[in-house]
Amino acid sequence: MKEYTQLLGKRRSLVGIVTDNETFSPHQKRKTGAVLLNAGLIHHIGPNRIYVKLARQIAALGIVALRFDLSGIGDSLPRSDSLPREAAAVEETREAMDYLQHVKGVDDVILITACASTPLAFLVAESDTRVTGCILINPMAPTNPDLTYQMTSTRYYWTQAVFNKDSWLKLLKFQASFEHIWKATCFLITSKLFSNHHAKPETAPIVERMIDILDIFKERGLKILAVSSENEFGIQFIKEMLGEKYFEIERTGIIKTELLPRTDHNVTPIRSQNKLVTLIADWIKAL
Amino acid sequence: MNDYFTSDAIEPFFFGQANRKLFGCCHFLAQDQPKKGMIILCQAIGQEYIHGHRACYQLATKLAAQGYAVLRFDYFGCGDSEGDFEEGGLNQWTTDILSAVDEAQARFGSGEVCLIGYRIGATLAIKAAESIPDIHSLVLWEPIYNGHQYLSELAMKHSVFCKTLKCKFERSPEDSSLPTEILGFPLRADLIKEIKAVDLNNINLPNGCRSLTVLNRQRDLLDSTTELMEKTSEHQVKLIADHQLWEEELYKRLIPVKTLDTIVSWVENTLP
Repeated sequence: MKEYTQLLGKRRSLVGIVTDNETFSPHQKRKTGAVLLNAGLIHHIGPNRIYVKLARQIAALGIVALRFDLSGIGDSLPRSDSLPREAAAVEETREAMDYLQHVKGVDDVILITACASTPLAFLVAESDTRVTGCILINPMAPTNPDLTYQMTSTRYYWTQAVFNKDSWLKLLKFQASFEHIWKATCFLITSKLFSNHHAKPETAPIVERMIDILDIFKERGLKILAVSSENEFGIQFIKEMLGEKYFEIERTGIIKTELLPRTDHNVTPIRSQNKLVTLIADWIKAL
Repeated sequence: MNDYFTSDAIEPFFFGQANRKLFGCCHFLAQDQPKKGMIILCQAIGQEYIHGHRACYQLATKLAAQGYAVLRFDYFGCGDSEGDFEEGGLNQWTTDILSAVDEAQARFGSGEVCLIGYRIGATLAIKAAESIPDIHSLVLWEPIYNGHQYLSELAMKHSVFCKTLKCKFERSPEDSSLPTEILGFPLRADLIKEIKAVDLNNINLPNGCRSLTVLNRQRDLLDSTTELMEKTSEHQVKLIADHQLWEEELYKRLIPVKTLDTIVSWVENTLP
């Protein structure tokens, strides 16, 4: 296993780490590469250094892995032009893929995202046919605050408060917020009864675009693995946001969802980190 | 292969022994050779490393803008460096600081060195300073003075995390008050032993080595932004009301600008 630094981008200002397995001969190596995108503002080692473990595991499969920082994040320098952040992130990810293609001989790329970088993977995949797979760890997208609130409060009332003696006492003493409980209950019933229930994404244009991009995923047969922590919205969030289109995609079998039990958003417990690495490696092997 | 691109404002690279390579990143002025001394940034470990990464980057950038040659690096088993966290330890990481000093001197020429350490990195910097002939000064940013206390604080944070997640607090066979892992990073028996041995109260800095100790306290607990607690010609302690990076939530932390500016200003006045 060899790890080395690589400066990327037109301005050579993006810092990346390449993890490559040199025990494989060139003809044994797969023509697939993996690019790990920043998990929000965490630099390219990922939350709890999980990207380092992932990159090494992926390289052990004969797939070259590149984890890098978008401009202004982690070790990378900020941009000096006025390109909007979203467009810049797409361009920089494509530049990282260019490196894999031109220097490492990679034909197709799996994008690995965590948390807030979910929309970026969609946008890159839309415009670049080299992307053949996306791994979404605790997928998130900018959304209307109402939806986030509804999901948080529904989960609180129906997974925690319902089992809590003090919460019941508050309810019996009329000290609980009946309005919130009512809204959470309605939200839960609607989600359960109507599988195509669709939250209103109009306050987040990127989500509307993600819905359209799913058609492209379907046409190209692009594979998706979505892994969600048990205590996170993750997959439920994606289902709510993407509505009927998600279920359409699910029926085609190109999306696979997995749940990580007893873990948090950052996949902190070591047991969960190992499970995540294994899940991803198995999915890649099966591609 | 590595020549595919080059940059002259920051330079990331791996250095050190084969199979124990360390990640380093040099910061220096783009158009000019560094004109002042050399600075090595010794970062924290585990979650504190992740929380402090951006601040250390900013500090390196600020110092480089003043003409210093700055090397940030990751200890073995931490950050981008080779190895897994459980393979590291305080002795290994102290040796890593010495390797970083050698690397910086090889790149920028021999000269006086200033070590800036953050949290356990400050503690390690003091240990390493004893073996560096060219040590000029030390900046100790919230150093860990007492290993027992540090472990207790970390164990408490992990315990709160386990309660929130409703998962088991698995006890270390070495010391049942401590967990086997702390917030995503393994806590080996050897590391527990090494950290427990940390006691800065009985340590003397190398002769002629100047020092600044920076302590952060909650912003709302202090009226003044900077309070000078103790001052001698060689050793200063400053209490700064600023963000406590290691205490703040990962996605909500802010850069402690006052702390960084205080450090930069002290270095400028101290290291030619």
